[in-house]
Amino acid sequence: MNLARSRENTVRLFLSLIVVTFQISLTGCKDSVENLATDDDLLRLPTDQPTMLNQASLFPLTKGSRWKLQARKENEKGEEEVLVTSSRPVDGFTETVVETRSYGRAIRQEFYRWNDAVTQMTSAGFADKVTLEPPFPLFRNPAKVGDTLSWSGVLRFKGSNAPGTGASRISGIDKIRKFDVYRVDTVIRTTVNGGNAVFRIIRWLSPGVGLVRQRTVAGESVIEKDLVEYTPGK
Amino acid sequence: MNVTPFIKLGTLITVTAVLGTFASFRFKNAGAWLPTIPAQIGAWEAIDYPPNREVIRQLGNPLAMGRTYISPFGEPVWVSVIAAGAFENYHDPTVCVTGGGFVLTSKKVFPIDGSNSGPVRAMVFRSQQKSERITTGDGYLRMIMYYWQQNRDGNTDTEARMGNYRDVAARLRTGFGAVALGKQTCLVRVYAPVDQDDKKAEQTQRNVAEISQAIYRAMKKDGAGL
Repeated sequence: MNLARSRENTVRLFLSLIVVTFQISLTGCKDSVENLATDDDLLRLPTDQPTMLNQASLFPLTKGSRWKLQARKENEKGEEEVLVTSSRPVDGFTETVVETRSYGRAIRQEFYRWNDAVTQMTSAGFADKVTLEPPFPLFRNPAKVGDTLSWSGVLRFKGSNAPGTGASRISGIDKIRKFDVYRVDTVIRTTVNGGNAVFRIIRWLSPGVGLVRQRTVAGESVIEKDLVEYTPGK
Repeated sequence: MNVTPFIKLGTLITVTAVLGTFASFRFKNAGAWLPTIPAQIGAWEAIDYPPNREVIRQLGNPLAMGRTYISPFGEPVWVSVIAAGAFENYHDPTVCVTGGGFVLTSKKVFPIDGSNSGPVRAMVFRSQQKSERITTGDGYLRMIMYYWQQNRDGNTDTEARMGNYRDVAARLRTGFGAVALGKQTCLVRVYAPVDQDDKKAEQTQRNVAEISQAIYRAMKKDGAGL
């Protein structure tokens, strides 16, 4: 009788030890890394569709369009006005001249051509302009996040030519103040005096308004411009 | 024939030794495949960026390689491929990265290259401390990482194989695959910092996904001997 009870106790003790050991292994070896799940909205599934804003023109380059901007370069601040000064139809495109003025004085001109499918830049500068051949594609219409356009061609400047490559991409959607904007990254690579040169422009464009913010990076120089006021052209 | 306990014990020791040697050989073989990955992916250019020597030493000196891919826009995506033989080669990024001053803030698993492909584990890590380099948003540095284990036959898996009880089933599968089936496996990490202009991390994830898909396809091709 005592022997049977003793065996029963031994079995109980053995089973208890197993249960305790198992529980220790469960509680003692929990995941060492907790997922805070606070950035779940940053990870999209492959099935998620890219967001699209309304499909008004991303950069309304009609004659008379005017953007009043505040410009910053390091600690300097100034006001600029960007104005579409001319617009004419050529070979299925509308060719447009966009002039930048600082305190009423013209300091830069950019030449674009655009139609319902694409907006391209053809040259930029002032007294001496850099011409891009073929025209550099900035974005396609309708604008779609992730859309990337590549460019390979020649930059002509003061009678000399330099090979260049580049790309332009609609990188994402953002909100700047009251404006829903597409971020358009553009980069041009070329050689200047035998060295590599990279020009990077980030434009935040709002459908129906155009330029809301622009950042130009050339070497160490960074110029940022923010929209103060927009007046549509006619 | 009279089988003495001594003979039984000797037989057991011999069988164990043979199995152990065989298992060691098979685990070594499991870590002998380091595939070739492309030096250029579309418009992305790559520079070799070998994994940190100290990290490799801690992992038991497996075959390993690393590359940094640079997009035309100057955005970097880092890739590391580690041949996984012995279990010490397996180190889950949720443990390594969080040990380096980051916290895990999101984790999702989905197909790496279309619905018929194997899974990849996508994660977001956020720095524990605010960064002076981040001047917008909440000031924290974020990183998106895709992680998977890819067999030579092209199958992928995302489960951790650390030493805790939760990973026992995955470790058994790996052990069986390596020893019984002779599978060869690599661990792949593809990761990039989230640019502060990329507030919703859309472009960063597209970049990581694009490079991950290209690496997955290249490894599949290499594994098939193509």
